[in-house]
Amino acid sequence: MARRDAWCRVSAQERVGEGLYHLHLKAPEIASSSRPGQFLMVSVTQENSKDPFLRRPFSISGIGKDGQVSILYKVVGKGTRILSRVSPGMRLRVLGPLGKGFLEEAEGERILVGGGLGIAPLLFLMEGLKSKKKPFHLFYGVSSRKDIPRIEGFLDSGKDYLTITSEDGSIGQKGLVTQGVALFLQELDGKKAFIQACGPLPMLKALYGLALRFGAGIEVSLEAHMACGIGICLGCAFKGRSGFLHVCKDGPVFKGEEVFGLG
Amino acid sequence: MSARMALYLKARRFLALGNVDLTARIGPLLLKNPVMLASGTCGYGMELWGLVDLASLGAIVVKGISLEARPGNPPPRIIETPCGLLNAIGLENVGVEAFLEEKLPWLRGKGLDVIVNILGTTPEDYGRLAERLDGEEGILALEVNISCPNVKEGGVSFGKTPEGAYEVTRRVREATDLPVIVKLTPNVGDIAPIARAAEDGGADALSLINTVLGMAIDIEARCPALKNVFGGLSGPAIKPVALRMVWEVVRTVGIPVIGVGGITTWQDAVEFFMAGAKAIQVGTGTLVEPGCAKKVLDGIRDFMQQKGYGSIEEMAISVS
Repeated sequence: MARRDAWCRVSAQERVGEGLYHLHLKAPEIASSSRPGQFLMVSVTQENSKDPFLRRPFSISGIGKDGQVSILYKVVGKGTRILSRVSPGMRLRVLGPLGKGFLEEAEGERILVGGGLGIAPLLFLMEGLKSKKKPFHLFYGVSSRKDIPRIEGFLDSGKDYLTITSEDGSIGQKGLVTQGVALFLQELDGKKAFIQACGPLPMLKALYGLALRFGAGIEVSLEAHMACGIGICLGCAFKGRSGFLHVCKDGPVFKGEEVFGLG
Repeated sequence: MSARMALYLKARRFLALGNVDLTARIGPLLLKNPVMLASGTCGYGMELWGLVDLASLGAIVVKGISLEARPGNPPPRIIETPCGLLNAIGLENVGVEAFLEEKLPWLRGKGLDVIVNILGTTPEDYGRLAERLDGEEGILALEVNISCPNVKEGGVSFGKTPEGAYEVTRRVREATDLPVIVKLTPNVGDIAPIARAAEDGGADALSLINTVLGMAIDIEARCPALKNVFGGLSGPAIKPVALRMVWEVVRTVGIPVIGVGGITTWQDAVEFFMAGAKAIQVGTGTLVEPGCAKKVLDGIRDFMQQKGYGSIEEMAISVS
């Protein structure tokens, strides 16, 4: 395991929407061993402050040339508010890459499903698939147009692999992301498919139901409060099929049946 | 400062270099240095491998072990609070047999100094655990957890009365020749009689404090933030409480005291040594920064060299 705990310099931070930020860190060793679906624990404290005390877990949204690793996040509390104020040149303590990521090789039609900020790890997964020229389809569901991060190249025209759904109809199709996925699976007409998803729990659960119905494979990425990120505090427990799963070390990416399967 | 004084201090520092004795003398237990990883914040060691030089630390106190495996509490189990962490993990652990089969051989193989934290629901449980662990190669000492606040029968009831503390300690004492450390809870009105009872029961040392009982409420959901309602507070927020209790217990019992509670810097550790602790444990600090304990250790060494302290004991403020 090539985990590292290191000081990393902020190379850039972009505001990519209302309360949305794309942070880029210079971390060559972490970047070179990161896989899609893995995450980082990032310090948000300034100087020697003990408040906030814990680091924050963030999915890796991509790695760049020259050893850059990126995270995409929304300001939801004190920690992320502090983080949103860091500027290039400042250093943050970063532990990673952590956890188990998405399968990168899979059989059948690749279906990626992102709900809200759940898009973050899928951006990374998608980059890998693109560079290997592997076909996939991305279903991206948001509440509203303003929830979509303005990331260069992400929403350019001519993305035939992308289906956007918004709950208020302000962009793409109006409705829930799962409706589009259901239709797509139906049209596959029994062909093999593999779903990889990250987003709110009800969305993941609904996708698991669809996967069962259409005989598709499914992986889901979970989110939890974490203190350590490396399996020592046991704080990020989630009740899975066969007892408690620990999101940080058993996941954050799980097979659908491990999470939602019955007994 | 006069030039002569400065020269004197410089010479003293120079002479002290290399003469710092970091050995922790905890009754019959000798550790190469006084910095340990606290139980419940370092797993079984392997989780930290590659991130921390575990062998450089005085000892690691592994996650509390019970006779049978325990699943722990339903989530949410943790919530951050100002300068601290509230947890209600519920003593999730693999059980003593799996520990001996899967965890201890690895720890032994790495040559780590291991202290095993044990917990039970009856005094007999504690005795049986001690008996089972006694004689197993690679265990330096037992730490008896009579202080976890997060399960109904996590031993905390024993830690809350002198009778309970005495009874559990005696059972463990009778079952093993290993050094016995009893870990005390701060969630009592008066800790002195409980510390004395553990001493009378045959404890070789005391470690304190375990977490401080607390809670948080999610005001959006209008419900307790932890499923267990109450949790144990740890982190820098509790350091003053821990320090006060260590000071008090050091002046109450004749056996050595290990300071635990909110230590995240070497300065924190030095405060505990000055209060009279013979060693300290870094707990929640490790969750935030895996290398925290090593930094604390390096800082203690530097401080002792700078000030010319020859041993941990020399730092203690006199007891009388």
